[in-house]
Amino acid sequence: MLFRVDTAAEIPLWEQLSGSIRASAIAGQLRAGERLPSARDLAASLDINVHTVLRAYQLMRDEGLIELRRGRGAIVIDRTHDYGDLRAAIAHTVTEARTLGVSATALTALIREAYQ
Amino acid sequence: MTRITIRIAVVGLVVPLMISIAAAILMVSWLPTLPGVVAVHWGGAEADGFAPVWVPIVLPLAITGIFTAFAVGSSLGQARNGSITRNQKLLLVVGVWLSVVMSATGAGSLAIQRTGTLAEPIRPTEYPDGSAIALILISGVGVGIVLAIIAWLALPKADDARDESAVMEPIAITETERLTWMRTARISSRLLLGISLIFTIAIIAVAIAAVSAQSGSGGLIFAGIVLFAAALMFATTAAWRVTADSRGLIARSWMGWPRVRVRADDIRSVRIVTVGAGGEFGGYGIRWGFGGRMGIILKAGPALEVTRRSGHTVLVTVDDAETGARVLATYQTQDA
Repeated sequence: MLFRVDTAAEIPLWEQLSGSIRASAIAGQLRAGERLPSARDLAASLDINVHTVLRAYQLMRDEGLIELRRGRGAIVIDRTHDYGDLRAAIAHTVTEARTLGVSATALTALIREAYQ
Repeated sequence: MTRITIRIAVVGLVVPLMISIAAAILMVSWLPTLPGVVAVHWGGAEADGFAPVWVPIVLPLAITGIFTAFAVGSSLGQARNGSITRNQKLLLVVGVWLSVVMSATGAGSLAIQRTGTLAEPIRPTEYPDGSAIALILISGVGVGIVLAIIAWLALPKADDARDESAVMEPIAITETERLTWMRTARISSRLLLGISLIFTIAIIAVAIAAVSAQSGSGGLIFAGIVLFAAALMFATTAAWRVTADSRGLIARSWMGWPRVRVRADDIRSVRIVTVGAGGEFGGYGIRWGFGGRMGIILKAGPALEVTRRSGHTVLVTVDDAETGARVLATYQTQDA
C-alpha cells in the first residue's frame, strides 16, 4: 500500500499517516489479515520517528481497523465496517463540489468544520 | 499449433522421448540375458550399488519425460505469441542432453552386464568394473552435448526483448512530501503446500533409506544435507517484503535475508513486465537469467522491473506493481 506524508503540512505526521491507512481501507485496498509494515520499517522508509508511526497505529487500533500483536506487528482485522456507503457518499460529494466549483481545500475545510 | 510451437514440441519433447523410448526398448530386448539384480553404481573400480533390473530401464524414461514435459510446458505459453527466450531454449536443449546421458548410462550399464540369466543371477565378483561404465558415461555426455547444440540451432531464434510498457508516470509530490510503497509478495498457498509436501516426502524417504542402509550411507547423508539446504533456501525465499521509497527498491525476505536492493540513484528505468508461469526464469524463488537479469519470481503475472545504470535488471512479481513503479519513477526523476 502507498503511504504519503508531508513534513511541511499543518496536520501532524501521525494523523497524516493514519489518514493514509484509513484511505486505503476505505478504498478497499486493504484486505483482512494483511500485515502492515513494522513501525520500524515504515519509520525508516519515510525517514520519520518510529513513535510517530506507533501513534498512528495505536489510533488505527482504537478505531478497530487493525490489531496490534506483540511480535506479529499490525494486522488488518476482519472488516467490521462496510465502507461501501461511505465510498459512494464521498464520490457523490466530490462530484457535487466540482459542479458547484468548490475546491478540494474548501471541501476539506467544510468537512473538517462539520466534524467539530 | 503454430510453426514455432511445433518446432518446440518436436525438439523439446518428441526427440528426447524417442531417444529414451528407443533405449528402453533395446534394454527390454536384452532382459532374457540380464540378471534380476544389476549393478547401477560404481565407486571407483568396483560396483557398489545394486537395483532391480527395471530401474535402469524405467528411470531414464521417467526422468526425461518429467523434465521435457516441464521444459516444453514452460515455453509453450509464450511461444504461442511467437517468441522464445534464451532461458527457455536452454531448458529445452538440456532435455535433449539429459535423454542422451540417461539413456546411454542405463543402456550402457546393462550392456556390460549381459552375462547371467534371470534364473542364474550374476555373482558380485562377476560384476564388471568401473572403467567400462566411465567410458560410457563420458561418451554419453559428449554425444549429448553435440545433440544439444544441434537442438539449439534447430530451435527458433531467441528473443529476449519484451514489450516495452509505457513510461511510468511519476506521482506528483512537493519537496516536503514523502512517499513509501510497501507490499508483501509471496507464493500462492497451493504452491507452498505442494512444494512443502514434496520436500517432506523427499526428506522422509532419504531418512528411511539412510536408516535402513547397511553400508555406504555417506551418499545418503550428503543427499539429506543438500535436500535440507534446498528446503531452507525455499523457505527463506517464499515470502518477501517489497519497499519502494526515496531510498530506492528494497526486497527483503521475511527472514530478513536474502535482501536485494537497488538504490534510487542507481535506477535507470522502471517498467511493468508480465512474467509467464514458470516461464523465462524457469521456476520460482530467486532466479538468474542471461545478461545480468535477476528475478524474484513468486507467481505469474505483472512484475516490477528495475534496470540499473549498469544495464542489469531486477524483477519482482508483486501485486499492485504499478504503484510501486510509479513511486520509484518519482524518486528516479528527482535524482536524475
